[in-house]
Amino acid sequence: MSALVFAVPSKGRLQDQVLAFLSDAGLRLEQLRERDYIAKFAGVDGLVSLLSAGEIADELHNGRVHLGITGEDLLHERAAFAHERVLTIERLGFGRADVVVAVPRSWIDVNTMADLDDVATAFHLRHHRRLRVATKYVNLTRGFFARHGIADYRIVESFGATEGAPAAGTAEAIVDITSTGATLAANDLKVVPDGTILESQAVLSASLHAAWDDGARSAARALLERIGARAQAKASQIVRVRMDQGVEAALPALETRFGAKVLTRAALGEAGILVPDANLSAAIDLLRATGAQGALSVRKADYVFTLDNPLFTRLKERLK
Amino acid sequence: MIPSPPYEAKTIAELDAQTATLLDVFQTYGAERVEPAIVTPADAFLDRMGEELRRRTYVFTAPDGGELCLRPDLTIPTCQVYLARVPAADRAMKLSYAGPVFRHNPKTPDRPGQSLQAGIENINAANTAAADAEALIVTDNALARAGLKNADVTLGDLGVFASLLEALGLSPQWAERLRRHVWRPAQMNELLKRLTGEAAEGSAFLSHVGTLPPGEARAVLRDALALGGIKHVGTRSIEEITERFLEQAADASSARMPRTVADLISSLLAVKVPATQAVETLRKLARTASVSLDAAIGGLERRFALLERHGFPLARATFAARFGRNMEYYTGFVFEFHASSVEPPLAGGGRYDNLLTALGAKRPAPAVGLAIYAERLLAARRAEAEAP
Repeated sequence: MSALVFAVPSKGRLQDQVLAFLSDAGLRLEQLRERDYIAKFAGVDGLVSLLSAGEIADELHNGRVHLGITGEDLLHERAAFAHERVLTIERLGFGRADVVVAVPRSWIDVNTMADLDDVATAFHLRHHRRLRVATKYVNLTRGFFARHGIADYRIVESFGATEGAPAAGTAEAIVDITSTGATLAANDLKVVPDGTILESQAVLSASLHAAWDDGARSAARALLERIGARAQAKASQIVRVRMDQGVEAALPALETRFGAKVLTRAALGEAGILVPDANLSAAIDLLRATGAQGALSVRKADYVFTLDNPLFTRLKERLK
Repeated sequence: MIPSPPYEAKTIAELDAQTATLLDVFQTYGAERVEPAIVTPADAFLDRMGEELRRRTYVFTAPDGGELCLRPDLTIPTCQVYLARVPAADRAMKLSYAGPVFRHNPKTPDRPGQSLQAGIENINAANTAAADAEALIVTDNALARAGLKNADVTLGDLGVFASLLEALGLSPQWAERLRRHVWRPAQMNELLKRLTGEAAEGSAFLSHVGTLPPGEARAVLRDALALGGIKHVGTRSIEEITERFLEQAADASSARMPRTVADLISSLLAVKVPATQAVETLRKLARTASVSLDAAIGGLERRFALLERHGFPLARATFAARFGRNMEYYTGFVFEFHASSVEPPLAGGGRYDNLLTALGAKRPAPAVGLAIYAERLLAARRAEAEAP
């Protein structure tokens, strides 16, 4: 049986954020040897492979790692021809950045992608060569430009300092990643308003082409249950109340309308109901309206493990 | 199943025999066989194709660092052969070819992106209508000689749409916009909304600048850039930016086109009728809208008459006004042959009047070409042979 391989970024701010996220879920990284790129999670089966964010996207596509956390921009860029190879299990809400089309700020005649289309055609006629777009996101750029019906341009592959290409004269426009826009502004560039290709963030993904034998599956289940249990606990509150007819009457609506989950119930004892944060006050109002008599106590759990862990369910359904 | 390499021995023999037949037919029409290089410098090539075809081209680096590609098409290399032989581009010439082209297919990444094509490029023919009709007739004869019994034909003529744009008196930038999006229904709808003012166009500032005399408008613009502290970077000059800004301003301040104009454009593009009814349908449309498309429709009628005279019954063809073969370089008459058993076209061709100048010809060199896709043709013939 092969060990589960979980890939995490080996450097940079994304690594800090990923390790913080994992350790928050109780998954602490144990380096096996100093300066080694293989590690493991304390108390969990499987290996952790430390790779660059781009390599993680590649390895998920190749099936050489089972699970991984990397930027959505890199996954989508690699996935242009192979959507069925990698499953996004969960978007994680950190590592946010947008992949955007940017042009010189002095292009006051360009405020839409349709303007850029006009400019591309006029540029071709005037300069007898196509307008060049510098980027490392070749596939994302092609797909986006095609959706906007722009054909009169040429991609120039760029590996670093893309934002300097227009000033250097190696391209007229760029497609690059930006989080605040400060780097673009410093290079006298502006984002085309309808030119946001992707709002990217860190994602937890699974390779559908990896060797998913029983050992790998059960290790993945354990990992995803921890991550899912922590996510569930963080996003919800547990409401405890003495069981009575009023509570009984409220339960169907709590589940269907408010996404609540009954964790425990006893005929004459207490019920524990997991309620998403956003719906807490509405849920309490409902319990009172249907006549719940007991005192309501609300608290936060560290983890909520349920049998229907949504993260592992998503993976299991695609691996069938 | 469309065969692909590595071919079985039987397929090799059948393809060889088929290619020999096609070349034989081409020769009877006076085409001279050429053999362009398979590996070709990428740059000139890549600059002439849209990014969509470019994404399917195999580009690689030569040992000396130059950028090369496997030819994704044979029209451009054949035109380059012509220009090498006739640098002044002032002689008529009919060149034929047969050989492999290379295109990556993202949908079947595991299959080799290699297929066989045979065709003719007819450059600088004096009588363009006759050359257009001949391209279709040669294709039809070649397919029949190769043994194909049934094929449906789709015809189009990008010249009809171009002359409608001219007749409507649109600004050059609007005519160009509509022309290049003729095959993209979604973009076309958006453009028509902008044209009729249903979608927002420009700002108050833009409309105001549009009403100023050109000299004054330039000064306003210079001040605006300076006031905004905007530094100019890049290879697109301030003059180009100003010029286009003024075009936009003129568009924004000029009257929108009435809805009836957009409707006329839409109904013309929606025309898809048996070719025998095409001329009448287009004439009626023009008459109802009181626009004169006589020259373009007359040109189409002449081509149709020539087709019939050379034994191609128009009843076999459908005319679709929007049909442009999705290739940027076509400018006029276009056609495709389909068989019911094979999804992609078996053959296609059309008029491309600007490609040679784009490739460096110093004078206009109008041309028309045809290409037959060998493996697809073989697949269609086999399907016909197996049918009960």
